[in-house]
Amino acid sequence: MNKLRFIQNLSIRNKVILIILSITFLIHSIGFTFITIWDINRIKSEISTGLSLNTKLVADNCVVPLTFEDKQQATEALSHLKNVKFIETACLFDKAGSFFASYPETMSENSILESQNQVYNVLEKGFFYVKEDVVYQNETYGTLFVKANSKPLKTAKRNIILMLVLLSIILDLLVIILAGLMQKYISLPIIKLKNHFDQVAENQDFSMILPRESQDEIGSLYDGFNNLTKQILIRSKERDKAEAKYKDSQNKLDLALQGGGIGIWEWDLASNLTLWDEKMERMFGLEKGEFNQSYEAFKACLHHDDVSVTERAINEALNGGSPYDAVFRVIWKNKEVKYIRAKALVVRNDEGKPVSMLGICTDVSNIKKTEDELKKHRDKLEELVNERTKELESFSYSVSHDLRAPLRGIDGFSLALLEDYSEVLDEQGKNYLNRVRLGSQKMALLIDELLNLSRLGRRALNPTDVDLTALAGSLLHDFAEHDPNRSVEIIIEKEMMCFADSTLIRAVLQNLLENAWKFTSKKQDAKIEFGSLEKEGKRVYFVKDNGAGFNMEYKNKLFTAFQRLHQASEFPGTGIGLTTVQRIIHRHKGDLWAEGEIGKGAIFYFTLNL
Amino acid sequence: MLTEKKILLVEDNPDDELLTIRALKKNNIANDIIVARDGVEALDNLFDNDTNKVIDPLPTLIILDLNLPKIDGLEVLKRIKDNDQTKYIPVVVLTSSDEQKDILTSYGLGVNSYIRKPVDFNRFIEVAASIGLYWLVMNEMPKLSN
Repeated sequence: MNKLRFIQNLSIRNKVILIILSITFLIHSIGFTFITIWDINRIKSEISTGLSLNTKLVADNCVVPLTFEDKQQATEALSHLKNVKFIETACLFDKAGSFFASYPETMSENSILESQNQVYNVLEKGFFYVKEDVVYQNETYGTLFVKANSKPLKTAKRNIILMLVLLSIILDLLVIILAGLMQKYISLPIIKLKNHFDQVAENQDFSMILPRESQDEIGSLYDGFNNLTKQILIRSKERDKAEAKYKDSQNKLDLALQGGGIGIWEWDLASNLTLWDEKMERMFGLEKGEFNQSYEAFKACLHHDDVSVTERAINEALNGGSPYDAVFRVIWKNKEVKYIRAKALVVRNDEGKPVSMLGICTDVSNIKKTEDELKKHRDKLEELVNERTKELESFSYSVSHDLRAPLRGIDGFSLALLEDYSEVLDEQGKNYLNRVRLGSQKMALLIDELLNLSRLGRRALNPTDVDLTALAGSLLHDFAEHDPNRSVEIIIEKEMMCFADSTLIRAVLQNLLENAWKFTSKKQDAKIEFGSLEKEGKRVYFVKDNGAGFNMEYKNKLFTAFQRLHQASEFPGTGIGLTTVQRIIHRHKGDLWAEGEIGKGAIFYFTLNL
Repeated sequence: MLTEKKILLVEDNPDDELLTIRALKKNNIANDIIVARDGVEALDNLFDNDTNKVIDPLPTLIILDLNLPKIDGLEVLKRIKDNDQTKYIPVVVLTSSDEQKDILTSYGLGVNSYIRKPVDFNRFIEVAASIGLYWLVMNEMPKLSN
């Protein structure tokens, strides 16, 4: 087998040629051998037959010489054998077995004796030996012995072999050429693939594609390879991305460590060895190399009041509690106080026992300073807000008291005039007085609603689970009781719950449903729907009616106080309701918006995000 | 001891005073109406300043505004309800404010009723009628002897 190893190292092209050649060679070898043997046997038998015929002819001519014992004539008869070139000798014996004549005329005794003792009718040692009795009319007159060489056989053999060898060479050459032409269908695609492979590997360009040329296994191999390079391309892109990201974050980390003034430290629990980088020493107000690398040295730097808190935090982190993240004060040698924030992770062994702590420190003194200032400002602001709120409260208190009193006077004395002096007033005068009264009453209503609005902003929220379905049901039931002549189709979604301040959400529904009730009052087939839908993962509630609607151009005015989109004579109202609703929804961190079309109705949507 | 039922009206606004009296009269409430125009005056009508004893006869009903000069209405209410002899007099707060804070404080101090003055005078008359009918006619008071 080892001898065949060289085949493995041949190129595919040569392997294919070798295989084809071997098979062809084997086949024509067998064929040619068979032809050679068969042809030689045929020639042999042809020579043998020819020799026998000639011998018989000469034997017949010997009858007369033998009968008359005419040796001269016998020699002449035998001499005819010279026409057959490959006959070397012939000996004629008479009936008694005595030598009678020979060809050539003179022969040695040995040769004569040899011819007599020879086995006949065989090919031996390159000579044919033929024996023919001289017979005439069934009487034997003697025997003729002939010896011929096998030159014609040898020539024929040589010719045949020469021809076949020539044929073999031509055939093999043809096969080589043919195989050379055919191998390209097998080896060329593979060689192409190999070259492509080399190119891909050399250029590291995995985007190169090898187009499929055939539908056989090699075609599939191409596809497989293309798929492979594609996968590699994807992976390498991912890797490049990850690498870039890693590099980026590495750079950022370096930058952060440098720019952010971050110091790195490590504390080995067993040896108590505490390693600080330069930044740490600077942060703790120490010279380079001044830190003596022990936990105690760290402790000595801390502000006295912060020691126990810091140690507690460290112990908690070591015991597996909260991660270590603490701020402590450090006192520099020049008595300067710095705020340092430390963060660390605890390194544990296989049993979960803490081995060391690895952490970072940042100087947060500036942040702390800013925080303190911010707190001061915030406190001041809060104080201001409280002050303002108090002012506002006292303002609305006096509004509620002082603004209403004159209105009462206007209304009361107008009525007194109407009652006590009706005889001196004509109809127009009375009409004017009634208008004065209506105006004052309307103003009182406005003041009330304004006060309610201002109270909404101040009232603390008390959110609970509210059954919106039940609430809307009871509100609409009340409206229907007060307005028994109206028939309104009411649709309320079942089991609608929300988390909100029940008093305020009641005010929202009261306003929205009241509006819907009011603005559908001129419709024959009035319909009010209260439901909810899901939008971008949020619950959106809506109140929908088929009433008077509004022009979308004015939708921004809907929620502005005292802005009305309908005339008071058409639909009464103060223009505060939707402002109140909006205030409440905003206090619930929700949104309120509306859609409408004149004559078709309006939809008010709101969300609650407590 | 007079059995005449007298009403103490504590009201600093002359318009409101006039309108309240008018509303009461309109409802045929003919009781004596004593008007106090600030908190001090109101207390003077109930307690003797020197002896700190209650003034006899005490009013049967006190109609009290909250927003008063000098001593405000809630303080007046507190003084009335703190005193064993005056605490049984029904006090009706009749005011412009509907602030929850005021309502809560008033009830905390023991007010008997809290009514917001309506602007519509027709309704004011109805309110006055209700007050008179309820506190002066329907309501039974403990019989106290000095």
